[in-house]
Amino acid sequence: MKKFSKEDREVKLFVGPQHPGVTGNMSFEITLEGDILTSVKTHVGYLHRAFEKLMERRLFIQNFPLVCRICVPESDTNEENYARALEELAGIEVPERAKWIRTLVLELSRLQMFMRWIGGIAGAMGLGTAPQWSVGDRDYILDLFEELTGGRIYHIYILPGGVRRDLPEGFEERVLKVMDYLEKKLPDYDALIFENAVFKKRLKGIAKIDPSWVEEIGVTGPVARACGFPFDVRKEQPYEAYDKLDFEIITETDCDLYAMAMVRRREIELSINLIRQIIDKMPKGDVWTHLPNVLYWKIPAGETYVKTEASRGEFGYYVVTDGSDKPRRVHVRGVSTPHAYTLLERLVPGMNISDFSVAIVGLQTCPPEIER
Amino acid sequence: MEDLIKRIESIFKVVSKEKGKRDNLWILEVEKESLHAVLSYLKDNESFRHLALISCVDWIENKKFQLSYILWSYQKRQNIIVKIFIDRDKPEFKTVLNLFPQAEVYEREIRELYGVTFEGNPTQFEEFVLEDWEEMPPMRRDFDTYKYSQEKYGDRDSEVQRTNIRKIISDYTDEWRRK
Amino acid sequence: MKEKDYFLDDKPKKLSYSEVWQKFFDWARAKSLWVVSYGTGCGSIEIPPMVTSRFDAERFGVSTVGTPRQADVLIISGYLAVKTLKRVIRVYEQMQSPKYVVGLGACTINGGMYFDSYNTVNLVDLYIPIDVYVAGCMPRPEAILAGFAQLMKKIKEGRADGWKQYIDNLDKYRKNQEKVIKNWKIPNYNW
Repeated sequence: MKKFSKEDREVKLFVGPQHPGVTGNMSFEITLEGDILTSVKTHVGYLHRAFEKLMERRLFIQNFPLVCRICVPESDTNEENYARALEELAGIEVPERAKWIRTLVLELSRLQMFMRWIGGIAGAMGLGTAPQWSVGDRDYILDLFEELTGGRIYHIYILPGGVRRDLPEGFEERVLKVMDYLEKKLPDYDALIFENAVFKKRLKGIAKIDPSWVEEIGVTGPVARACGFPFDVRKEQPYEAYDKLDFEIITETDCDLYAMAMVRRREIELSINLIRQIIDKMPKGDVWTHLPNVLYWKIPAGETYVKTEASRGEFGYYVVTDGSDKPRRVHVRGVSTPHAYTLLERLVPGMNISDFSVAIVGLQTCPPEIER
Repeated sequence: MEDLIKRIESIFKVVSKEKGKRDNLWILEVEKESLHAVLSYLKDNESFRHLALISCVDWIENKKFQLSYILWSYQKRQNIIVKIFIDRDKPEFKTVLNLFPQAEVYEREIRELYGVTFEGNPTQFEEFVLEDWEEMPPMRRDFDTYKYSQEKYGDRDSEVQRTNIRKIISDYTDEWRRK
Repeated sequence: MKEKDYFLDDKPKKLSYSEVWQKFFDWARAKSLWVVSYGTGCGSIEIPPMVTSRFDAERFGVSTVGTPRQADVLIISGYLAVKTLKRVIRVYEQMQSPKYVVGLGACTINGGMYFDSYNTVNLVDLYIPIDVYVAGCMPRPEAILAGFAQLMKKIKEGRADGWKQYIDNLDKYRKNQEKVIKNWKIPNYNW
């Protein structure tokens, strides 16, 4: 029998940007030996808009429409981060009611991101009913956003000094009605997706992470919590109104894709619980403090680093100012940069090709925040 | 956190230190030859094991680049930013890949956008976000991006002009006040 | 195998039929438009709500397919970076004619809010012919469906001939494309 050398056995494939199984616009270059992968290389750059260069040419207040669009499904987290960095450098205090409203908006945004993820992972495995349910239910939350801020996706509602306007009349009852509806539908989702025998068989044991990699590489979010590490920015460095709310960090012990899916499923219940607590405890008062004339606003020189907990992990902003009316440098720390490069290169050898697309959606890599 | 800074000052030479605007953030400036020793001391002895970001700022007036390393400690819940200054005309430095493996991607990005080379990083000359780029590194302060975009990609002939927003708003309010 | 076997040098043909058959084909094409699943930019966040249960697009005959060989419509949702423009031209030339292009958002019209960025293209019309523009940032799913209704009306009247213009003025389009993209190793796939 003729023996083939290694170069003859390996095949190089391109999982390109136009592909129904890739989350967003990025591409991978994989080498295969039969059906088993041996290595992967990630390519990004298809969505590079040079945000940081554009932000240096505009005033501080003119940057808010740009900041929304860095990570498209989660635009509120970006606004809140940038506003908090400016408030810290300029020394502005935010009134109490505005902090509670900001927390409500952040939790609603996290909930709609999780509903979209359920549709993504079920669609990557061929279950076509689940996106029809979950993306349809997500529209109820987008209707709430449209009533509050005026837009479905890009809100520009959180500004330095507070929020743009107060809650309209009867808004709290509508929010509670949507929360009751979603909680009633959760057993249906369990029976369809999370307790499904095919779902369990396809996710258990795939992409097992060694727990010593988590602190070495810098993995955060549900991926780190699925390995047993209780890392959550809402408890480590509480911001807005999180230090007055009462909740526990959710962890699991196996480190595979099924544990990550169960962490996200239990965090949906946690978000619904937190929204009910917020509406219960919200105080009355102002929602806006007085700012100087924003077209001529100069911030003293300094630098700072603030972070929040997005639905994927730790999202950070590093802002440097030099005393003029435009920022010197704004650098965004995307969550998926360690996940899509260093972690994926260690997970891939030995994986079957039919599990590759499921692993990318399970780690929830999002390309626009890697390359901004 | 002040006793941590005192311990660092007793061992290494610190050029300047500054407290951030909140309680658990300090910003240190050290000499560039002692950066690896400072980072490895913070990682092994003081439990700062999470590297959040490596960033670069262009100070064109002083002809220097600033490299910032942002670290976080899960046990003590404290942030520290360690920064150094390197020369702008000859920008090169050593990598921190042996301490933190995810620094490979951050240094690749700084190499492409600013032109700083890191000695010891094997993948730094591959393309990260730009394809077939032949001009100067685009994030430097003397690269004019509006002029480049107008020349290469063109603009549609229309009556909309992109003018100064302050002039438009102040003209409008002056006219409104005159009524 | 020689490398020349993969490349075809002929230009594509424009088939023409008698008037009755042409009207029938146009009516049939407008009733089932299939879209390539390619999310090129920001606007692809409103495509999943458009094809799922609330704003059902399948009642108009619109659905998504995986490969460009089976599709009729390419949706350019938002801005185009130069790296994506090269792949979009490749996907566009792989689709079978007659084919149509829909441009979403203000960034396809004149650059939008990234007008001074060194990596995004300002006028998409110079590189690929576009049939229908839908305004907004991002346009709502109902607005995209209104854009599709306009496209169907244009097809039934016989005015949607962006693909014919691409074949006639291929040299001008190639000259514009080569000004922006340097490494041009794209073979002419069969049309």
